[in-house]
Amino acid sequence: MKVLQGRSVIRGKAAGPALVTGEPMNFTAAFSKKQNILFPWLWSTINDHHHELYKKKIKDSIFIYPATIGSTGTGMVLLELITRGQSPAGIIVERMDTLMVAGPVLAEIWFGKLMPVVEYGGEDLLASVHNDDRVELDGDTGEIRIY
Amino acid sequence: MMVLDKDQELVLSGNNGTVLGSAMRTLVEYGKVFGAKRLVPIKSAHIAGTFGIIRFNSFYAILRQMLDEGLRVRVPTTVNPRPGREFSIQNRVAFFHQRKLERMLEQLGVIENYSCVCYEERNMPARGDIVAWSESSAVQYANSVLGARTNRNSLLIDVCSAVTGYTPEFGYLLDENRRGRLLVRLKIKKMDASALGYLLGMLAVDRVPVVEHYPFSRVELKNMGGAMAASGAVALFHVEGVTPEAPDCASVFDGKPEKEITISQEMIDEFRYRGPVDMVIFGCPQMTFDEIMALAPRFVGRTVTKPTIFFMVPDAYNRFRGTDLCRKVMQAGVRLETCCPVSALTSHQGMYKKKKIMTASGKTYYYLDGSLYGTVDDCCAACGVM
Repeated sequence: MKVLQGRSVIRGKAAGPALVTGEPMNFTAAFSKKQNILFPWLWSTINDHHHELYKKKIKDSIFIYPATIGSTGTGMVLLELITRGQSPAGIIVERMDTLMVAGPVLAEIWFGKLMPVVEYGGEDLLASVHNDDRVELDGDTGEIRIY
Repeated sequence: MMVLDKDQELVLSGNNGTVLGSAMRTLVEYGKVFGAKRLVPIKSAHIAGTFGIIRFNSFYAILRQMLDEGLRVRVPTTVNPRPGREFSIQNRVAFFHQRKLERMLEQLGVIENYSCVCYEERNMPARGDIVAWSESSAVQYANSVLGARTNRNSLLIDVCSAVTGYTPEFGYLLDENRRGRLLVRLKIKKMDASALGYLLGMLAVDRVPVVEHYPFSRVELKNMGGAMAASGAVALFHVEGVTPEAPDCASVFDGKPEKEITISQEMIDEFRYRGPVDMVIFGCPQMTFDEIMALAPRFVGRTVTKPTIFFMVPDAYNRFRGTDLCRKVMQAGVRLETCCPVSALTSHQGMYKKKKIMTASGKTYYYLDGSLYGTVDDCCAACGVM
């Protein structure tokens, strides 16, 4: 087991299999395609063909990525995923940003739902964790446990 | 620690309504994450949530709560384009809530400009003005070209700012985050601002690039910025001697740039697709009046060989409509639209067999499945008018 100390962004605790990418994420491009919208079982499928995680599902994972790019639809898209139980269980990001953070902030205040987020800026993050490793996340303390 | 003034405290406590209180709390919590110390008043807002997408119910639920409490925008607030519900039967399903959403926005009291290029006529902040905008391309233009100050606000954060009249002070509102970080040198013979923007977005991601002097037009700055904010998260760029905060390189950098990049002709040409296509589209961000007037003469006396659409700012379309040039462009077979090309065509595309659509927009190229990139000249050639 490995423990990393990050910075708490959104409170709450989460655990799940890691879904890891070194590429920045465009949530709007990934989750607002007609496949996502028209077919409920495809809500959490990443439909951005520019991204290496194309066609992967994000639901219930601990999603680990470097930075958010793209449209300001991001917050609304994440909010919808969270309220429908289709979002990652938690997020670890190297550099947090205004768009991704908006999703869980809105979900907590308007719907009372939590999706913890931890920022971890160290360069060893992507080397320390691999897809499907079990990761536990504490959004209150910023602690990350990788099994 | 964030410190609020008396009025803000009252609103936050729910004194002026619990929903307005929640909107305030959203801004406070959002600001706290980024270390904002206070909420500051805004001059205007721009709301990007104008697509009545089926199933995005959380969005409508929040708007409904606000309207039920009688909330209205407290500052001039423009809105993004319509999604093109009439484009296809699929679009009528995908944008099922369009009419309902537009009624809600009207009740909120927004300016019904329905364009991502709100800054041409309807919402024109001055240098130094603090605003709370969403729409990545508009944020980019406001910060970079107008010298106004806004963060990349998400949908719904924009609405919370519009109804409270405040935004948390952090990020691009502060001088220290508006300094240049990357220096971009150009070795380019034939400029293509959209492709350059696309490349810069990928290379800069979320850092502030400073492009060495090049006499970009307003249209080029718009298209370059739109691309940068799609392939990257750039909220602010400078062009030496062109944009207001970069009279010269010495004053926009703190000492030396973090990194220097050189962009060559080959690098921007790499995006160009050379094969045949099924459709050609122009605009995204929507075409301004100047942009239409520059492009339209190429179509006079010609007939397009592929379906060709201009996506225009509604205000610009209203000015263009009725002119002789407009009649000739329509005679050439060009279709004129005022919605968003990406949303209009996303659902229009077959699920498995995608049409090849050529665009000169770096932003559409990123978002629209099946789109291929070409310069404006390439696009004209592809639809048979070159």
